[in-house]
Amino acid sequence: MIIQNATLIDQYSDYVTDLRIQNGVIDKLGKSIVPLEGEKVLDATGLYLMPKVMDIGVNFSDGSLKGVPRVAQKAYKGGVGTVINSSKTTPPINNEAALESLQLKSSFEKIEFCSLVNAKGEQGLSNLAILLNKGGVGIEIDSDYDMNLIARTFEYAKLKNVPIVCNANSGSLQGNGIIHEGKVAAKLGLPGISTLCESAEVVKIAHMADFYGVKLLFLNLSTKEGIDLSQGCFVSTSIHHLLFDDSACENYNTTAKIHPPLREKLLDKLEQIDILTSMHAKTSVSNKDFAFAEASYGVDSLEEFLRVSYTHLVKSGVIGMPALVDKLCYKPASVFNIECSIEEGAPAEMILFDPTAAAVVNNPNSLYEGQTLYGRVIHLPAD
Amino acid sequence: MRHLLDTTDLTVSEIEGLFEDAREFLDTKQHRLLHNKLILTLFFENSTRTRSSFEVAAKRLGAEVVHLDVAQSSTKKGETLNDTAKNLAIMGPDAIIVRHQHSGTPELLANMIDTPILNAGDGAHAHPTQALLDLFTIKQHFRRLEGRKIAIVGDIKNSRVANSNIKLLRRFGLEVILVAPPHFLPHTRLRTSYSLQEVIDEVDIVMSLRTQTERHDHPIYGSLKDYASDYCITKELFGDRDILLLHPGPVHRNVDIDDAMMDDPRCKVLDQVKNGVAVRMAVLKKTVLG
Repeated sequence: MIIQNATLIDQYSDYVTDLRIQNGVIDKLGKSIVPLEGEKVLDATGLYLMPKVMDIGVNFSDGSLKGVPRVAQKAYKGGVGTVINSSKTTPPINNEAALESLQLKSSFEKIEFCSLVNAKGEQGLSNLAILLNKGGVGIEIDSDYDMNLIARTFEYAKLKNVPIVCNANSGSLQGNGIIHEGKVAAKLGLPGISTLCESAEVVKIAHMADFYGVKLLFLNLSTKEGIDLSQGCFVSTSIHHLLFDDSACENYNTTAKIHPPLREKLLDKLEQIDILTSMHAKTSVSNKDFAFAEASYGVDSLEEFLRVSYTHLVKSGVIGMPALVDKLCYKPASVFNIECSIEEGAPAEMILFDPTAAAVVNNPNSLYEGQTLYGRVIHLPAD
Repeated sequence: MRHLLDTTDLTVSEIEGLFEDAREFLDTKQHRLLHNKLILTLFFENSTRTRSSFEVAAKRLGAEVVHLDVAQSSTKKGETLNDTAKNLAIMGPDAIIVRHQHSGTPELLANMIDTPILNAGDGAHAHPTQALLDLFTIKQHFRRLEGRKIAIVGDIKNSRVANSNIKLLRRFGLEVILVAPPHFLPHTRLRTSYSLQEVIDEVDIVMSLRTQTERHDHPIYGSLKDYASDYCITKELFGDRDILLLHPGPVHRNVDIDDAMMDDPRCKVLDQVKNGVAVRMAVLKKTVLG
């Protein structure tokens, strides 16, 4: 199959090219590839050709592994090819049985699932060597786990040459906090979560990562201070934290109840943010339909992730398409040592993206409900 | 040598001398060299094997052996180490064999009394007779030691056996490679590796250590099973390579060494036990008779 006149986004730039795919592999890249007799030709004029999106820290509906097929569906529709799911599922991925169960469930899906494994087991430290030998791609920790446990986890990461993914938050300082500690919290009379919950923990963990020489990714930082203090580590932030502040919680809007909380818009920190996430953790309506304090955290966002990012970052002129694709595809792949490239000989794991298509979001679980989003994911036909 | 606190108390020729004696003691016959001599064992930490090995060694030489189970006596009654030492010394033993959970205690005792002290293991510091019997076992199989490579595998950081062996074996020209996860590796200038597979093709000897994953309620490793998933010595790992396998015992089966390797002729664990008695006989003889 030949794709003609596609605007290819590689790690450095975008350029218009033809491309031949044979047996699922990129066979040839270049201008004016002449079709063989009977070869399928796809005109991609005006379309972006990019790697499938990789999303880190995804959780399943209400955390249950039963939600795997739903997540896979949403991911597929949204152009996400690899889900690096959180280990904080029910049951958590901190034992062989849970990991195998997830691997079995996800093996039937059209997208790739790679699991994080949690450092904390039922009795202290999990069997991380076994879990990583069985395919865990990284170790997830909360920054406020016991210090000995965290130190041992760093040693495991070193042993197995995998990254640590850290949720930076002090649970004891957060206490019963449920919303960013600020004017909105005061107005709504809701207990706040101080930015220190995150920033002070970032300092500790970033120092440990430096001490052990281990690759560390902070998952979904929500504070400017945290981002500034995360030197030497990779930073991810959810797209929502770029675009919304805590005023999204006005009127006790539980759709905007996510953890870490929406605080101030982080859009002007975008240059320091390596990776964007959807922070997808769909919560059933029955768990959102409560008083703000009692509603579950979480947001349904996987399907709209790429379109939201394109609309608010590229179409609006904040960054170019290559910079976005870097934060959605190339950078996350590099953190997890996963191959991701569009070049001759590489697997044809790509999507086409039509930036002109527009659609209004109709999803009451979405923060983007009612917005017009641009872009449409087109999957490559089988060659 | 007055005391044997670590192998560094012995010169190379003294060690060769000990081994000459030990070779003769392998006959397991009864000797009367230490007839009318009294040996005290002072074990602050439980030990079955080392204590029995010393006891058998002393009795084969004709000595009387008296055990002081200090773990349950003096220290709990408020006696200081110095008091204990002086009380023992005044009874006139010809040597005191000491095991203590804390590093440095045998040395402290040696500074307090004139009776020869034999260190039977102190904390993570030293276990000289174990290292000597390991070297003795290695020498039974290799005529030339210079340039041979040994991988020491397991919780090296907390192992007195590893510590004493590292010191001793290098003096005899062996290259020591430490193989362990980062959790168990000490700060060292020695070559280290996280992977047995990485070194298995170049080593002549593998010394597996007994590994514990829990210490003072703080987990160091997920579990023994987790440790074993990468570091258990298996027949698959050894293949048909000509490698000597050592372990100070007691072997935790299928954690330190798998069943198949335990039954393999390359595994010298029982030889080590036998050699241990002979080497300790030689050490007692030298300590008491000079």
